[in-house]
Amino acid sequence: MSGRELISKKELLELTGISYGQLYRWKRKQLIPEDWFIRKSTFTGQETFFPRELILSRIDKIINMKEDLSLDELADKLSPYSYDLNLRKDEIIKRNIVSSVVMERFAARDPANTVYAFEQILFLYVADRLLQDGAMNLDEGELLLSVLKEHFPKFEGKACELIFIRKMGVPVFALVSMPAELHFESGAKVVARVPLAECAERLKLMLT
Amino acid sequence: MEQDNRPDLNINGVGSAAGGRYRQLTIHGVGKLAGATVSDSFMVNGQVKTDGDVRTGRLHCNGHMVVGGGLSSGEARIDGMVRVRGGMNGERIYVNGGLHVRGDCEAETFQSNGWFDVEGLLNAGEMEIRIQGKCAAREIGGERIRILRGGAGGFKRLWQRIVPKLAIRLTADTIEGDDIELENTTAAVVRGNRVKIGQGCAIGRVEYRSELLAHPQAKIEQRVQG
Repeated sequence: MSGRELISKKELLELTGISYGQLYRWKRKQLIPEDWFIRKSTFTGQETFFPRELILSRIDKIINMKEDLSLDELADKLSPYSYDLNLRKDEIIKRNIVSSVVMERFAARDPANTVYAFEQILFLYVADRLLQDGAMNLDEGELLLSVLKEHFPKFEGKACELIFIRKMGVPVFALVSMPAELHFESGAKVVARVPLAECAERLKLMLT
Repeated sequence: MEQDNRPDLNINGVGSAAGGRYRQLTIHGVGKLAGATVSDSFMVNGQVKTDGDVRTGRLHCNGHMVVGGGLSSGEARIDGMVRVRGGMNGERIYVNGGLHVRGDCEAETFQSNGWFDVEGLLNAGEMEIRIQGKCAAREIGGERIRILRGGAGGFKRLWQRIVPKLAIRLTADTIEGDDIELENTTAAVVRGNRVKIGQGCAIGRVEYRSELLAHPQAKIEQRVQG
């Protein structure tokens, strides 16, 4: 998950077979988020790079979907968070989007017909995944959810990453905007880095 | 249906107004707008200065306009001068005069017959630029890019030698597009499918896929096909 490999614009065009015009057009239509355009100086001058995995999967998606949808419709579909998706609690459990253990622990008080917003499902989904990886225990899950609830809205839909560090067994959660470079002292162990935009996208595919 | 009770705003002479939602915004004279405005149409004859963002369906500026934030409009016609502190976007942008954008400038159609300075990326599907003064952009990208020099008579040419601002030249770091045609352009890198480099160009490196046509007087340091 940590491998934020970059791909240059030229390489990207060769790999995907799209043209400069298409790339700029999609950027105008906001199909490709602004912060994926990373400008770096190279020996030939300024060049633009993209996060490799993100851009390749995004372009693949655009090419596959643009047959049936107009670009504007596509833009709505691709925007990572502001997606109009709500799901009832019993359905989340039934479709196994979030495991029942997590739901029981963190949402036991809500009745079965509570409707969750996409954001809430995302938080539970992230917690669920970290728990299933064995990276986190249930008590820490509580901490994670409160961090997400408090700080995630501050990013206002911009891409951000969840970082989970542990030092001497003490868990620390942080949210950083992407792309960011972080270095830690040697005693701290980075347990997990979760790019939330990617998580949201995966979750969205599960829901639709 | 909800009733549309947005007011019109008219400033004749000297005046100022708050931001907000308007139907039609017309300024004859000197106006000042505090805060962001959203309107169906925005017409300036004279001078206007705004603190915040401007969003409008149709913008027509005859005179001078300073936008403190971003400018977003369906169609923007600039017969005069517009300065934008933030970014600018629109469906169609026509510049007959001057345009200065601090951020990026994005449009489906961008036509310029004057001068402009875009400090970020100038991104348009269809771009037609007739250079009448000093044009600059950090990056230019789009599908069809045509940059031609504007006409110049004898006297104008004399003035151009004296005042550098009048020099007919476009400068950019990179120009990328599918179909590119350039004249009087200085750029470090030009990348495209079909590229035509006309007279008066000084290009560091041209990367093209299918076709490169170069004027014998154009200066190109490096040509790469691929």
